Amino acid sequence: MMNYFPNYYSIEDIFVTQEKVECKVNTRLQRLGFLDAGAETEDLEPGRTINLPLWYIKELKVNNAYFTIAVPDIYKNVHKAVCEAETTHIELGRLHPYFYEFGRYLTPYDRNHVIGRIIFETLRQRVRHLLDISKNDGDTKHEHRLDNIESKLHEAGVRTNTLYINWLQMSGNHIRTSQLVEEHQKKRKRADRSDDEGDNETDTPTSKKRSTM
Amino acid sequence: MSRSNKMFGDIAFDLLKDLQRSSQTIPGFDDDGVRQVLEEIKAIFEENVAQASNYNSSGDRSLWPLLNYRHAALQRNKRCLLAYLYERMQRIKAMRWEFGPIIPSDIKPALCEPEVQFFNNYSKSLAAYMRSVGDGQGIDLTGNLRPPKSLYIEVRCVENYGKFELDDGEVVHLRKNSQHYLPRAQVEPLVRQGILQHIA
Amino acid sequence: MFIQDLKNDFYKQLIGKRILIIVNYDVDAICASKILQSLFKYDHMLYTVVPIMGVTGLRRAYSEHQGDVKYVLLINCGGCVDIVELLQPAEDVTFYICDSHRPLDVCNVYSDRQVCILGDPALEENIPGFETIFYDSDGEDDDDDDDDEDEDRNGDSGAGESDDGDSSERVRAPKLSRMQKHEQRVLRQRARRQWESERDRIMFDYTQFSYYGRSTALYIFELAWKLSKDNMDLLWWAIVGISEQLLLGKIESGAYTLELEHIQSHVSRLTNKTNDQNTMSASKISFENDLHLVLYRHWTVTESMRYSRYSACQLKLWTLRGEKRLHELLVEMGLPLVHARQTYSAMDLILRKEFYSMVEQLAEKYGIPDIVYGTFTLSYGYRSRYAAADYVYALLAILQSVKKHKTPEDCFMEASDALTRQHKQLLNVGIDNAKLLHAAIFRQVQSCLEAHQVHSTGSFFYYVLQEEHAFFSYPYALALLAKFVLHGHVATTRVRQAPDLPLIATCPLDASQGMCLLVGIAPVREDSPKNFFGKAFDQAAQKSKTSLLQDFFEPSIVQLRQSDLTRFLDALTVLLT
Repeated sequence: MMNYFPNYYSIEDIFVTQEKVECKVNTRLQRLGFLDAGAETEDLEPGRTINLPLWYIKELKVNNAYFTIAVPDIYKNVHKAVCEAETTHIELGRLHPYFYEFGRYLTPYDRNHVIGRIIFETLRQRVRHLLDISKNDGDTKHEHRLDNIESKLHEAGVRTNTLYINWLQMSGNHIRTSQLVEEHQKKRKRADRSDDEGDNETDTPTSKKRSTM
Repeated sequence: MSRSNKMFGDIAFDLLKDLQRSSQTIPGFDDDGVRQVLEEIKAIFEENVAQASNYNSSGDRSLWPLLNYRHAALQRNKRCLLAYLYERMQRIKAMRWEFGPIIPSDIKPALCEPEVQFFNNYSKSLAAYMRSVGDGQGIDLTGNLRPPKSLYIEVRCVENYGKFELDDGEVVHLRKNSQHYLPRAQVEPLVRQGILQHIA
Repeated sequence: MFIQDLKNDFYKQLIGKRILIIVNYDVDAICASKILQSLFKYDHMLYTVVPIMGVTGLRRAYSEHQGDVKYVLLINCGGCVDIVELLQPAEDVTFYICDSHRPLDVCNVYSDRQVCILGDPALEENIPGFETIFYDSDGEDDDDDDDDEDEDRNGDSGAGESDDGDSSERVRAPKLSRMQKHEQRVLRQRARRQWESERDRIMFDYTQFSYYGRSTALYIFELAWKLSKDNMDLLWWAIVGISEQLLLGKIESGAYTLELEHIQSHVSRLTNKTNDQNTMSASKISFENDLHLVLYRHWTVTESMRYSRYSACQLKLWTLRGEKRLHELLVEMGLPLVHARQTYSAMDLILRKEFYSMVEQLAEKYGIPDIVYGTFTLSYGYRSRYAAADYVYALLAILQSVKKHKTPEDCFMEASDALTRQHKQLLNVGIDNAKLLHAAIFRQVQSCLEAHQVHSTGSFFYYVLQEEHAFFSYPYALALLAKFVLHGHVATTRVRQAPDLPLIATCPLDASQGMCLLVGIAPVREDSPKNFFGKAFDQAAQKSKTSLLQDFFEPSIVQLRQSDLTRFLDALTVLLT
């Protein structure tokens, strides 16, 4: 389930590699002008800054002659917090939805060799907090606080926690409707319901069916 | 390529994005999208072939970055396309385990013909395997996912199902809102399919 | 036929069989079915529970399961209708009826095998003797047997079929002269007519009043006890069942007191049994004197007093004077208004502890002596404490919480779930709904009395609600409202015979179909649950040629066309004067 070791078919990994990275053009590149939205020439002129998708960059050698890869600011911004061990409050999800995985791809291109350390430290500092919130407030949403991997960890944590509680209460032995079916039915019902939407809340007086004594 | 924000690989990526964001169990097979990606691949390939032969004959390396970029885009397209098919296949497999051997009628139109074929073949292989194990008795691997505590369970019918015959020949009429006490092993599939609800 | 030995003649017969349990929509029936289900579970007996509403529902439920089941158990339904005639079952199907509705249909009583009524015939009131209502062919001449067959087929209806003997008469006794034969025949016919009119009288006497027998839940609990499978939960359900009978006036107070003693012995026996592994999480049932105040443990004192029928009617709480009197009472009780107006559970502990005794002491003085009654409370853990009445009111509210996407069956299932301890939140929602219901009833009573909407025909009162209502288009709520209105009206009116007059309340049911719901309430002075409206409605409908839908198992609740209402009430007035 988790995307620690992305394989060729991993959709998550495809999503990460779709992210754009800022690059500086070093030499004149013939007929690559279409990569630069602001350029009118057919060729890509040196000195221009363009955004390239990660899936292309990772095909390039670190020391390739054509582009210099700029490290995104987000990692620099986090740097300070990492040093002060204050990372738990960062809204990582807002910073970048794939903070860790994106960083991992960029590590070799970072000349200062800090990204690797930053993402490692960030997760190390935040993982305990993650464990905490998955144990205690299973239902609250942490929309912007967590990045993709973190929210998956959180989900997994909440799930195991409920399983554990069910086990303690010996109520985990119920047969449930399979997840796919349940979701499928919910969607169907919602579709049914949207047809006669309108007085969902105020329908008590008009209902036609009654109970008897 | 026109001066839009569309880049190589974007159509292929959209396929995956739609698949991932769709609220349906499985969205319809995007014939048109797949065709467009294939066309893109073909176009890139043909251009690259033309220019690569040019490079072979003249030895001019100035187009090397372009060739390189296009090749990466081609590989990217291929990856997206395969991931699209692979993900759908995974979901179809999961459907066999969760919905049973029959595709729900409202899902079926979402599958393309080869996918339906795959589902049927997968279903057959699974059935054949389940028959072969368990000392000639066969084991229903889709059942008893949790260790049973009792032989019988209390269930409530949440959808009209009709007559249901138990192994011993008793016929139970499963009508919405009736409540039953029935052998666990035999009603488990119905609970999984959401026709019955297991109540405490 | 009656079955008295439930353990051997009923339960043991069913072991290993598959059973269809058909349950009526009432709290007592739900409780009884819960108890039965847990018994059947012990013995791994397959069962199917189907909730039904009214005769139509019963017929539908049976026809759906026809052929698949051989044993059908009817809970609080079917006792008062001729089951064999209604359902036309195959020979090998057996019906067990456990119904608290009375009077029982005589055909069920005298069925020799197919219909078994769980109950003690000794407790039944004046069931007509077999020979007085069924024509006995043995005592007749042979040549009359054609007639007898006819008689057997139609004997139950109670309607006369006097002279169909002539045509089928066959001459088989040539020894007698014509004269003699004719004479004999005349004599026989006269005797026959006499017998028939006597039978009609007996049947009328028997069916004139509808009333209730013992709580089914309690009856089934006793079966559980005899099987040594009783526990606290089952007992509590039985208590809820009988409390429903008390609160809806289905049981005389005397009979209730008698039952309390039985239950108390069960409570102490089970308490002693479970005390060995005493934990704080275990449930505990205790007997105590409590107050006839609606849900007061979950409400505020003032609201509960105002919305309870007894206290509201005695103190006339819908008037300004009544309100003053209530405040006087609170002052004398030493209960500060601040406390009386906040949730009971948030009141001072001392006040809470003394609340009951404070009310009890002043009850006499304020003319509300009957506010005290014996009941049971259930507590589990530290916080949850419920009176049996709380359960009943909550379940009633759940049963009526029909909404667009919530069918009556859903409500039934929810009510049945709310009884189990794991679903406390359902119960609490029910309690909240019950509060809304009672507040609505009170407001309706207030406006009705202020606008003098209760009219008298001399022999009964009637009250007509003009519009469909979120609550009162349901039988339970309408009955509760009608009762409150009647008591309220009697408390305010100066007419001397008012306490002896019954009340009819009606509310439109379904505007599109123009139907309305009609409920008849027995006079205030009548303590017994006897209600003559079932029969009276029937006759008034015949006289006024209106079509009446007597589908409910409560005969005093019927449906009819809105347009027929005036004609029907006129006919009823004539009938009852």
